[in-house]
Amino acid sequence: MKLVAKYTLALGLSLGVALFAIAYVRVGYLRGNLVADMRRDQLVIGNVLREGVANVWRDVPDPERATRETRELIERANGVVGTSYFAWEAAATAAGADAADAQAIEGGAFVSRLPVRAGAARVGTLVIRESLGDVEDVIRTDVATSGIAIALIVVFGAVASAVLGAWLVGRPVARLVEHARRIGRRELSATAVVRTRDELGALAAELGAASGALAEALARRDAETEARLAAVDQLRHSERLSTVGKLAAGIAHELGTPLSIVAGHAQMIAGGEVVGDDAIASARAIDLEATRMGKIVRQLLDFARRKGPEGTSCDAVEVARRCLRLLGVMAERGGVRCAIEADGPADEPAAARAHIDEDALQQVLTNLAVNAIQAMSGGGALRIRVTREAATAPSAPGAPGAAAVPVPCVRVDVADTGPGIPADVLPHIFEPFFTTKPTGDGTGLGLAVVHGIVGDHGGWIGVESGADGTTFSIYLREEPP
Amino acid sequence: MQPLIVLADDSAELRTLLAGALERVGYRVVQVGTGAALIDEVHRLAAEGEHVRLIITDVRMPGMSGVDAATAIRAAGLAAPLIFMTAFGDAWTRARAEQLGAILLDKPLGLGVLRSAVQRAIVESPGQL
Repeated sequence: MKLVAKYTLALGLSLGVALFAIAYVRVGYLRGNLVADMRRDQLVIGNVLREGVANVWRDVPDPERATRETRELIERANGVVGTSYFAWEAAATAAGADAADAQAIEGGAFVSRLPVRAGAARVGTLVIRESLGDVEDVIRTDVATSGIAIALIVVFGAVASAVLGAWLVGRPVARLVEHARRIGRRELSATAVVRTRDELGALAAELGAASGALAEALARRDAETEARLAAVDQLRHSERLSTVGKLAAGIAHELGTPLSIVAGHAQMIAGGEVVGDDAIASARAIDLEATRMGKIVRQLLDFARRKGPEGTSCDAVEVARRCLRLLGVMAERGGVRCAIEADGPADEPAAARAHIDEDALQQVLTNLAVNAIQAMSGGGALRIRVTREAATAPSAPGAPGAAAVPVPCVRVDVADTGPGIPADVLPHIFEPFFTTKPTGDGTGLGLAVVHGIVGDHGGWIGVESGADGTTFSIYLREEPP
Repeated sequence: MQPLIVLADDSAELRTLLAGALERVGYRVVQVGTGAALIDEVHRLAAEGEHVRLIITDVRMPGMSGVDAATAIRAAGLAAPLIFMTAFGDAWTRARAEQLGAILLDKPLGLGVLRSAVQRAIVESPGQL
């Protein structure tokens, strides 16, 4: 109700000031009028009395007797007219030789001095004196009445404006404010909270309409988001299916050749086409292919029955160290220098807790490290770097902007100084069974498994490659300590 | 003169096995490991005046596929009969094989199957290169 209070206060003040000014001016005029009345009355009565006194002096030649009769006349006048007081000042005592009428305020009374002449000589002065006390009383009463009236008007006006203001403006506005607050709290309803046919009603109607529109838009957006999520789900599902298809193709392809070799050698042995040492060589070839097929099957099984996200965590730095320890001999033989980089002092690097199962991370790093060592056939440097940074997951096309916020991550880089991956091959390296190596030299599943493991734990993997080497960057969610 | 066969497969073990099996029944076999090498070898042999009687190729090889290499060879005007070997005979591969008039063999293949297919191909299309 602050609005109504401000408004009422302003109204009261301006009303009060205006009425007070009017009253002040009016009282001034009143006093002026009353005094003017007094002046006129005294003149009128004075002139009448003056005539009478002049007659006395004209008719009575004896000054003493004239004076006595004048005083009697004046006494009678005093008795008749209650408010004024008449007095006679003889010529000798009259102050100054002034022959004109004089009227002035002297000490709280209005005094008229009227000189009286008989013939050419001044015989005396008629003095009329009337107290201004009554005037002051009248003024005081008037001021008091005006004051009360002003006060009543101001108070009544303020109260009326406050009540009317609250009813016409204050309450509807409070309702509008509450409606706006509810919109802020997402409680959206299209009903207008004020129905009067004025500007506030119009505002309420608009607010209601806007609220309704917002509710609709939000509902639409929610529906779209759901639809998009469903679509992404579908996409993932069908991707998984195509992966199964790819798996089937891959299995057929990977096993086709070794089986052909086994069949061929077995047929030659059985048919006697090869004997003796040749037969033994054929048997060895069968054994080799059988082993190879075993490895392929194991890799396929690993890929197919990847364990679900473990939800456990591990220290990425420790896992990296272990990985390089295990591969130390292989690296040395290939002329590859290994190094680990992490935050903190070199002999006591800070731990980096990542949201990933320890064995799973081991598998990932081992896979990448082995690839790197194999790529550097003439020697080189393998570097595993573990850092913590905030990063944003790359979002799938069509996914609702869920990946917009950077999250704290543990980043593991596996970098080599090999010949790099050609640009036309790079987009496909994580595809299952994609390989540039001749058959038998790896199934092309390794990176697909790596990609899958990282994804299962809510992370992602990126790769950069050039003529001076390749770096795989794994981002895993950081576990809070 | 023994009929000349060019054999392409990225697996050295399988190549050697199949080449040996075919040589033992009287063919001459030249081995290559990639689609690109297949094209080069066929052109080289033709330039040397050799008559390539049959081309056997694996479908899926690193780099250029066997089908693409065969298409390129045909486009260059060399009409040698074709045998494709594939582990995954999908509709697409079958269609291409038919287009090129090639025999399609599924892996794993037995030596007997291969030898009879070779015979059929060479006998039924005795045409010049």
